[in-house]
Amino acid sequence: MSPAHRPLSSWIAHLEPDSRRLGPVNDGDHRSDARQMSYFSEGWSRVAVSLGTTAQGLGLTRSDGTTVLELDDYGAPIMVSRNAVEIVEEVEQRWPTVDGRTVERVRMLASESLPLRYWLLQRLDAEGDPPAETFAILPWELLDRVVDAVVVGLEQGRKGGTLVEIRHWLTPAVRGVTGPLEQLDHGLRANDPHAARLGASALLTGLRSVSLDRIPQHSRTGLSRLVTLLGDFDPLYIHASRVATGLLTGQAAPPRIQTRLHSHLEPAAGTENTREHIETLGGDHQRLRIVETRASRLRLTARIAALETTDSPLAERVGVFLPIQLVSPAGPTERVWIALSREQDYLIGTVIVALPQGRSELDGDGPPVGADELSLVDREELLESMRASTATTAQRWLDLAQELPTDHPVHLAVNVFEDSL
Amino acid sequence: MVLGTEPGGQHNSPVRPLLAGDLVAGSRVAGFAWVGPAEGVVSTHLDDRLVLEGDERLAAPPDRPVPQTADGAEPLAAVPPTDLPARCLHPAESLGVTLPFRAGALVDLPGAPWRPLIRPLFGAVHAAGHRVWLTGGAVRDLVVGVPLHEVNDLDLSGTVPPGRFTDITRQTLRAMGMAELRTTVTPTSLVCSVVDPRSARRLIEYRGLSKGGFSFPVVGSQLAEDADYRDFAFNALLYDVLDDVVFDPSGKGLADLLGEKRRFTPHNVSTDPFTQAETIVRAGKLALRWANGARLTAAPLDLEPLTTWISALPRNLCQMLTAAHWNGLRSVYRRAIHAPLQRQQEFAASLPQPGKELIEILIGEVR
Repeated sequence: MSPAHRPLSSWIAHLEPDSRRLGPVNDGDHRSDARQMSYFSEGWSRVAVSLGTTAQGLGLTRSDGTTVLELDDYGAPIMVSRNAVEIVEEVEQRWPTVDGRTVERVRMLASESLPLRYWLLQRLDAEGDPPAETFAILPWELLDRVVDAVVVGLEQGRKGGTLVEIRHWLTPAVRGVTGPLEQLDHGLRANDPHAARLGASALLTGLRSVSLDRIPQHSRTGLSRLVTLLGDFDPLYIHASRVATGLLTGQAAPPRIQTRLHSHLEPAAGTENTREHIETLGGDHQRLRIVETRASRLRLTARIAALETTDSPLAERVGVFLPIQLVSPAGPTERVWIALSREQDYLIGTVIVALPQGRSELDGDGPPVGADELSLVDREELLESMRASTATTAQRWLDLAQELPTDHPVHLAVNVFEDSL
Repeated sequence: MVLGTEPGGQHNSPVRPLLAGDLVAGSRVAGFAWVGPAEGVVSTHLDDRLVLEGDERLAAPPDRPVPQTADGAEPLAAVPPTDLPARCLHPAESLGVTLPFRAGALVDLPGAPWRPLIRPLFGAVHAAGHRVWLTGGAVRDLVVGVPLHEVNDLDLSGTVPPGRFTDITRQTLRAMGMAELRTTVTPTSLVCSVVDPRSARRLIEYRGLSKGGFSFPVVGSQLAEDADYRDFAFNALLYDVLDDVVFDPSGKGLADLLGEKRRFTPHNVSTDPFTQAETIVRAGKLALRWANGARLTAAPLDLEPLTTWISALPRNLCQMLTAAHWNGLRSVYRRAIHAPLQRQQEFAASLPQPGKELIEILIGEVR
């Protein structure tokens, strides 16, 4: 018996001893999290609750005979084998430490029910730091099947077989990957290029910020094949696609558009002149030129190769904007979007922003986006990007706003921006 | 203030879903029940069950699927809100010229968890021929002018059965890149939620219109009956975001809320001890919040209908509650009541038995 034996799931129900019926979810308070209930602070042990001749539910019991069953998202008992209950008990005895022996035991849960695997890893990840291989028991085959369907949809222009939903099952390991992947799949199946492109863009963004070592090799291979394809279908994605492929495969990535900044530049030696630090990041397809001055300003000029697009389900967009992030440990992350205009073979735009105080990091590796991706950005944030724009780049915002609905945040921000001119 | 109106109806879909009150093969539809899906599978409309008048004697939902439209049925039921008399329907502007703008701003509130989902979800529900409205605390707060950033939850109600609602929600989540969110259905209340898997925060909650008379949970299609299962008349208000109309199905909600003193008129006809106890706790939450630190007797609150209702409850209400009930009530109380201890004790003292005993026990156990 150990205080470590608390619910894994956020929902439990008491098992009425005589009728063997389940009581209401969380004793009538479905909004609460069973794991946080002081009710489970001590005195409970793990048990497999018999639910028929062969089925057992994951449960907890107390010496006075009180028994609760853990429930899935629809209020049904989480089914479990007796062996799995022993493994869960062992994991809980060491909670939240997961050592090598525990990993081996957890691996034996790979054929258990999805809710059991999900909740065990969700709680372990929330309360500890489980090694990457622990997440191998999650249903990665769902991701593989969706990736295959999307690849078929892109390459052959037809729907990729039976619809597979990954839902939340892989979120203990990675967030921001399967949601966009499903959106891309949905867009291709529904012939909705808007959704497909939003999914593609978000997938390329999401893959740069997750712990990729939690994704099994076979799934990383499939994802790298898919993101390579995204770059093939939309040349604007080439840089982000190659960065993601490099991260997924461990192979060489293109020169990154990432750098560290510091607000205290020393004067150039032997001169009192204001020193400028100039750095050009990226490669032929996506490049950012940074001019950093002692006046604590950053002049950022983006240049993206404007290759002709193929007949792609991803290529339709209103405008092209390069998102830049300035991450400062001392303050909130600043986002700025550079509106790009066609100049011969390139899309080009420039903004001038304040250099964050102290040390900060700049990231411009993300995929260029269209106005659709900005539809949920706050007007005020977009307004800051417009105010930071040089005259030519600002004019691009004004022109693009004319192509957008009047309630689009870009349109709303442009209205304010024009009033302030 | 009370103008009454017919809803605009310009957002209506050509699809007419089956509603409680329609006739199917000569039998009248009573409502819709729900059975959970197989383990690991997402709930869909296939989990909804058609409940007919005469099924009241059943111990469990009948194994009868719900047709997705009223095709082949006699669509006799009035589509809500036309089941309500005109005096219960109020153009939002008639309650305050800024109310429609505030409602729109709430739905589109920057940073709110529901913001990316709610408008596409409304569109998808209406495309299926169903109706969905804001309900509960959000409507109450909108009407009395609470700052929008203080609105914590967005609760919805409508005509969609729970499996179908989950179905529509999942497809909307997929289209919006939000498929990583969990969708849940609470089997005892048929509340459907969209939950962030990391923070456990609920983006929205939805429940079909309440319907009583069965030994298993059933949702119906009539706004007036739904009001009978809300805790207070002012919590039975609904807001139609598409047409900017406030529904007051009980006919008392707006008057209770906007009168010189806010009147607590209990409305729930349930005889379930837990539901009755929960209503008292929720009264405490609102009374202490609205008193805003002042003594309850000095605050502009009318608790007389509440105390009358409590006096009529079984004197042994606390003894009727099971250990599991107390566990749930402690959890509800802990989340709902944040006032200083002295204020909580003052609220308990203001109640007749068995409400006084209930709150005093909860104060003692939760401290």
